[in-house]
Amino acid sequence: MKQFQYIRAANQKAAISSLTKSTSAQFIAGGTNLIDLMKRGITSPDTIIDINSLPLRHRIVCRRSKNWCTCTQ
Amino acid sequence: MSDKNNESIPEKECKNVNESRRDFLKQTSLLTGLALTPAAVLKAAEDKWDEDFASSLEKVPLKLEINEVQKRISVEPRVTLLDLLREQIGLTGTKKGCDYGQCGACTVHVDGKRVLSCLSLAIMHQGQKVTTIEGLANGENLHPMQEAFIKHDGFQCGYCTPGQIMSAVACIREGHANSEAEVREYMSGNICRCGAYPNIVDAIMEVKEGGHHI
Repeated sequence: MKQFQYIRAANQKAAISSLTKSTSAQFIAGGTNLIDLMKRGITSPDTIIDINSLPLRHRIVCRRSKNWCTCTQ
Repeated sequence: MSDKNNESIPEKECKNVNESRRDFLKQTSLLTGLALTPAAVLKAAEDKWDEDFASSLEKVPLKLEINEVQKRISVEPRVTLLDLLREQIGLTGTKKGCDYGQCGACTVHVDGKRVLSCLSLAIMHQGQKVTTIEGLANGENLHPMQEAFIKHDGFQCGYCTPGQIMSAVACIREGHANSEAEVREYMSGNICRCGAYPNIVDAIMEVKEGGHHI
């Protein structure tokens, strides 16, 4: 697995701004769809943004196109 | 020949050559130092992010409670919980089967929930409680699920067993062991190549019906 920068997002805004700062940043929650691909070298994000500590359990709408993700709660 | 050359260069000029060589060395070592500084560190320093960031080329301090023992370790962000447990902590009871989340051999409990440690970065579990197969027994007394697996012969080669037992305990705690069919469904993430499934289900049903506090 290639090295990456790990960021534990403090809040939603910070998470989204971290995502937009890099072209290959990825959110991580469970990791089951990301870490196996990283191990195989299929994807190698330079930044991993951990969103586990964010209060996203209630409702989240995520629209994603290219590397843009807009989330509303 | 060389004597002649030395004589031909004035002393002052020689001094200048020496100085410039020293300057050159100073400059190059400074530049090398700058070039070797991880880009991520420089970038993070520039941006002054308020998040808890970890530089990509450095080990990160990690606090974990593993089997009720507090551990302070430093890990690279890319190290999975499984590799941390097996290679850094030395708890090799948790098995690496497929390493891609397909087999369930690496199942551990994190804060009481079952987690595939091979698909989980160690750094994501800052401050959490991890229980492995080694932490299940109470001293010399085996956990009721371990006893039941032995009694019902819930394994042949035993490679999947640590994961099976961790999953089985969580399965009962979650309240998903009310029928054989339900047990099979909620244990479906744990693959047994030897095909000990009927015995595994028997073991789980016995522990469930035995009313043990697990």
